[in-house]
Amino acid sequence: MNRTVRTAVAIAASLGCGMLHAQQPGQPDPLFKLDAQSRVQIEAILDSARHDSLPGRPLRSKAYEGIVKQANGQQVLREVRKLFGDLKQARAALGPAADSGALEAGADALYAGVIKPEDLVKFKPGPKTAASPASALTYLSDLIQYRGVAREDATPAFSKLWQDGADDAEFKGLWQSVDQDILSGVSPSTALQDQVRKIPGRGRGGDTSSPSTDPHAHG
Amino acid sequence: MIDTELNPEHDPFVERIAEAARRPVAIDPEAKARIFAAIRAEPAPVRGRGAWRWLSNPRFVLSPIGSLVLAAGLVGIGVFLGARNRTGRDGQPTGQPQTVAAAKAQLPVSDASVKQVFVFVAPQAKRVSVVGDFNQWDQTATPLVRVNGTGPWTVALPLDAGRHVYSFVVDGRWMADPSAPLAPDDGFGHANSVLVVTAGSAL
Amino acid sequence: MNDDAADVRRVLAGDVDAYTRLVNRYYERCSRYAFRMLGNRDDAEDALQATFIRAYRALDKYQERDRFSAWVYRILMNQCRSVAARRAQRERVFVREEAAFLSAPDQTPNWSGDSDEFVQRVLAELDPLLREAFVLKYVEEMSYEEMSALTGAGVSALKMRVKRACERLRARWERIKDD
Repeated sequence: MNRTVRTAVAIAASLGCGMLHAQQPGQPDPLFKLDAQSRVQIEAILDSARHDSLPGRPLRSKAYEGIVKQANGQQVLREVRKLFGDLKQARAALGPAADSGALEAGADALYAGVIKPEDLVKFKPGPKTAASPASALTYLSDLIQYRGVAREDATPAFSKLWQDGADDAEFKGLWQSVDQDILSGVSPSTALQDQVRKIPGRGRGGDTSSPSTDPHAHG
Repeated sequence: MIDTELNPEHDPFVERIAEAARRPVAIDPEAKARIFAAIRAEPAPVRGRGAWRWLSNPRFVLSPIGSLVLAAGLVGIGVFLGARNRTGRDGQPTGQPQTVAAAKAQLPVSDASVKQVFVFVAPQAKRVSVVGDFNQWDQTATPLVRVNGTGPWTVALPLDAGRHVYSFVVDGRWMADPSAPLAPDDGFGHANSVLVVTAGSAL
Repeated sequence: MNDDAADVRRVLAGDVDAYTRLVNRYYERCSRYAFRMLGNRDDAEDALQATFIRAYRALDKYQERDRFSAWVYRILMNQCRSVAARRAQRERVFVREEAAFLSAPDQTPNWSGDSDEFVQRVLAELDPLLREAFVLKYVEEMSYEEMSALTGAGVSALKMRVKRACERLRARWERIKDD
């Protein structure tokens, strides 16, 4: 048995007993690591979120994230406040049926300027669509922000796929194959165009045929 | 002077930077030798075989063990597992070595949560943990372990359905998961990885 | 280049040494690009290794009508973007440390613009897309059309990025002069 197969078997064996629990019961709330003023203001934002039927989990998580990444109270508060505003905008665009993951993905995309609110509305869940646009928005943001696909090409392609009922697995597969093509030397927008066409049953690709000419893209 | 104000591209400072930047960079012969060694370890490319397509095929269902040692082929650390004689979907050996930095397998545990396996390749590291919204960003909560003291670092964790952001911490350094999409700016100067878990799914 | 296409054909026919020749032909230019983009030798080496491995694996997909150098460049560029994205935090930390360094009165950095370290610091302060455009234009000395084919961005977007990069470099110089 070669080394890799031995390793794989050993990993599989360790899975049975290697599970760890995410929760650490009995630990104090990490928010208390912040100065009292910042903490109180953050908690006020969490209350507002509850009041507005926005998910509190991503806000609380953002605070913990800031703490572990060694931001000070005011920096953490600033990011939590921004996220709260972006979640509200995402809710307005995506509607009441959007789940927390969709709101978070939408908020992140708005924050980074990857998507405009008027484009975010195209990812509303509906009778023909998959349950949540969280995956679609996540992969869309990644392709635009990090892989060099122009917003003008990616957003119409993704919103069309979403509205036509593409599911998480299809978006993931699309993302993986576009990324592979880019890393193999294909230009990002061509890679997207080509891979959209190859999705079984969906190859229409008309929206991605024009190259990006927006001077403000990725400004 | 007026010209440079109107056209910063002709600024003498900018031109000096450009000129200096055009100078060749000292090449480390060791680095080059490593690259050639890595190339020699690859199977010879043959026209038309499209060797890597099956990796990114969304319909491809891998066994849990297969998933563990495979990634989407994205390079993070550039480390080879040196695998040979792995079998593909039809049971035939593929004989393709992999560059693996991180991989995941998803094994359903219940309708509400899915057991997630994180894998990270970092042979020189002393400590690796995964940190994210599923463990309150606690760096000590979820360390990865290395089987036999060598090979990839791994841990298994049940995750609720939904969107999760996370990162690896490798000897104190924040490192994103090379096989996962990146979240836009976290606001704290890092780029997190994103994982969307759908209930009852298996990869 | 005829040599490149011929060497690719040889590699696909089983001659690994032909690939060694291809790598040698482009290595110096590629390592300069990777180092200017990423600022340190470890990351540059990662990107270089990944580039030449990926190019090797994808050689059967290379179309002879494309320039081999452009094809390798695109792979290199995307590897650099990928490596840079995954260590985004280091650049921000670097910029903060840089500011502290500049304000210390007894530190007199070499402002002659000749030192590699100085050039790297200044480039590292640019946003990655601006840096990339600047390096492609002024280090690789590509035309905007070549840059557009490589990056997929429009010529006007690229011109804007180069201009902004130069503005920021100029603004940097203004601050340095005043210290």
